[in-house]
Amino acid sequence: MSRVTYDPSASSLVVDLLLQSADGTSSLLIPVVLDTGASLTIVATEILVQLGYDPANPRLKRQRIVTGSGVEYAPRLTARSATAIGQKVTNLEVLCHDLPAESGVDGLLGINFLRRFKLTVRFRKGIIELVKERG
Amino acid sequence: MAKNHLLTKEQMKVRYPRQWLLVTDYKLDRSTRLRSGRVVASSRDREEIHRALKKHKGKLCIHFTGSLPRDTGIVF
Repeated sequence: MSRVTYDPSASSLVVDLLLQSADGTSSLLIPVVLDTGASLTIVATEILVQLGYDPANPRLKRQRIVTGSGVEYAPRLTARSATAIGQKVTNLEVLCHDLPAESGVDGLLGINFLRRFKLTVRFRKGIIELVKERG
Repeated sequence: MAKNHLLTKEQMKVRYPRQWLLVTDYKLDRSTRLRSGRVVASSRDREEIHRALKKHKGKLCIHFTGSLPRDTGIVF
């Protein structure tokens, strides 16, 4: 079972997200907030550039995103693979968007990743479980 | 730093409190969490670590040893 523990008194659920580079030869592990309120997974611009993706490509679709502070548009691209809490997803769509450094993370792990699994968060014990469901 | 010793995540937290780190030669546990690695850059400024990324290749890790202050909420 894929499971991580965290400080139950923490104000957000931070996990590590392993992203594979565009050419598959390298990878980068970054801290992200597990966010069931985010439709899509979000990754900071510099991270995607480092991995060989091109967020500035004018041919990329720009996704309309509604944030707490308004409406913005962000480039949407496909990451070769993304792994978190022991579970891997290939060809995951991610939005290129920068979160404030004060958040302590480089992105959000959103529903388009989480929906492929059964997610259990035991808030009182500080345990996150992510398992593949059969059927 | 003359030599980048292999540190556990707990040792990184003690040696670099509330800092952003760039880590190489890292090891993960079965749940994709950082276990250990070599710190090749550290800063309180995340942008500095993002810039340091450009000087390195291969398997890299960005790790923040701090946590959100208790009097700060987070809403995206």
